[in-house]
Amino acid sequence: MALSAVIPGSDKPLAGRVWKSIRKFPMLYLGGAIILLLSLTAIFAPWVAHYPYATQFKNGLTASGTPLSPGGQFAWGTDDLGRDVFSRVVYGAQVSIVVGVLSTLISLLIGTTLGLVSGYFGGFIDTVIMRITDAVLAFPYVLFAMALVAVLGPSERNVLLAIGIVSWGTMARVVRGQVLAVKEFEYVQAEKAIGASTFRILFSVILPNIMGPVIVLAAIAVGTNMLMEAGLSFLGIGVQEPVPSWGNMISEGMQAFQYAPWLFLVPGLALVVAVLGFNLFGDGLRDILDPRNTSR
Amino acid sequence: MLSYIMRRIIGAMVVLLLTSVIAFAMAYLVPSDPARMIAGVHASATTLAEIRHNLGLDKPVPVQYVDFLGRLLRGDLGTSYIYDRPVASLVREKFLATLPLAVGAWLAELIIGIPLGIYTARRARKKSDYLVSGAALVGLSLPVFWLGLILLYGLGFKLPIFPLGGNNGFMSLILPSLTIGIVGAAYYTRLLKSSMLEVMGNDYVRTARAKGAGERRVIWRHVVPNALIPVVTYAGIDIGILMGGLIMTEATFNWNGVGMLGYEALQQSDIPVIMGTVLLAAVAVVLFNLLVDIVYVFIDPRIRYD
Repeated sequence: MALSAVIPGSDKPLAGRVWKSIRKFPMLYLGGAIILLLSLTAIFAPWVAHYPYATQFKNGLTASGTPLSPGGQFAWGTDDLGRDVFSRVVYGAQVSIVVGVLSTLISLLIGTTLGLVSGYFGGFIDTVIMRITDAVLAFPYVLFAMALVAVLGPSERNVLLAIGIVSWGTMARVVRGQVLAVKEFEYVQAEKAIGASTFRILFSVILPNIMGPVIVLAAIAVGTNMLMEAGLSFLGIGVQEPVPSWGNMISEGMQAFQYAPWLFLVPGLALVVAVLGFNLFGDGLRDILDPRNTSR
Repeated sequence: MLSYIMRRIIGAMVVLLLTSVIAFAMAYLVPSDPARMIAGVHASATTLAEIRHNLGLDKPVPVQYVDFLGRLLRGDLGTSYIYDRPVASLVREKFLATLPLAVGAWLAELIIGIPLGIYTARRARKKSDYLVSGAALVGLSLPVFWLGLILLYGLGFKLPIFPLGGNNGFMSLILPSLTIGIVGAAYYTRLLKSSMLEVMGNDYVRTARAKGAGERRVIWRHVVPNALIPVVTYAGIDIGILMGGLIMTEATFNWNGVGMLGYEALQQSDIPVIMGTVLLAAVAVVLFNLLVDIVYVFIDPRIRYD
């Protein structure tokens, strides 16, 4: 029996099938490509960057002490202290990815657990957890994150903790909704009937079946959290000098925008592309997971 | 219906109580010594102790919270450590400055977002849809403060049409409102588009078409009003969030509102003001959510026959 009878389409050449998949879900692949590029840049930053991010070059400023515009030795120009913008943007990618991904993991952890518990047990537990979630969601994200950072001290680690703590609310709600939808299905009832432990039901049965929307939300959350980190660093309470974050670079650029506009334009552009990558990927994932799209 | 409203109101009150606890915990944990801030660096130990006693800081924490709650319910938000003014009046003053910005931004979002939502829904899967939806996705990815800087640079510096920040007069309102409007509109566009597509798949739309109604009539009389329901819900929640103060925008445009107030208070550890601004924002959100819940009952005809 030919393999193609079991796996439809496997008798066609691989390249053709890959290309067809790309044409069908362009957002997914474009977003994925951007994320890949971003991650590689972040991981290999010391090799990708031309110079260390804190080095102030004597020939990095013009005779009158203003930054150099893009071109020449410094690919994307220099900043007010004569530091290479290109290298700083590259190192900034590290901050963005680390903070974005880890803070999302934190809020995933908190949100998924609470959502699972709340949705599965229902009743009083559900009401209590949901009211607390409502209360947390009522707070202005930025002020809340700022206050947390003020308590813990401004640093990259505290920023990602703060963002994670501030943003689990939506996750919890979505997970709870999914659990409610799936709770009455037969495979859950079957597990209950054979006496599976609650822990097993929640984590081995329900959780894998609701992963779809949760992963989509997580992908988009990474983008949102990267924006939040940039915002906090922009306000001066995130990543501190001299470590470059795209947010604090934009803040510095704001001071110099009349004579060195590339200082705020370039890191901002990098940020937009990065966030766009995650948003595209998330949207693409949603399209793939949409049951109307499964046509093989 | 009345019981539904009552339950919502009680729920809102519970949430408000919880937010007061969180706000109190937050302010309590900020590392600073209010007594020292008021008395100055060289104050003696006795002065500090006296000030602490006056502020009630030497009582056990739960007692402090109950005091706090009591004062809150009487409308007393304490006195600012830095400005030595009642927080309530300070917050109210700054809130009135933020209000035009919040409303302006909200209107900008609606004016940009809703027409684009209808447009992309009607031309779904065509080139123009991909273009506009793509733009919406980019809009979602924009940092508000960066977009603000770009607009300031392009329309305030290179072409000096608008003033470079500050909140005086109508012209200085446009750029910040537009900044938030562009980013926020993207959400409305996407929401309305998916809502309209869902409505258009419904039977009553097919019925209207089968009865011979023109496309225009079908869209505007049947599809749009029903598709707008989730949008109205979202808009209500949105304005609540906007009222809480938009720190990023206010910082970028140097707009002296509630956001800036909270930000400065945080930098100076002015605890009563921090609590005041945070509580204002939370109350705004909870109130508008409640409003939306109540209004929803009236605008969604399906719920009425409960």
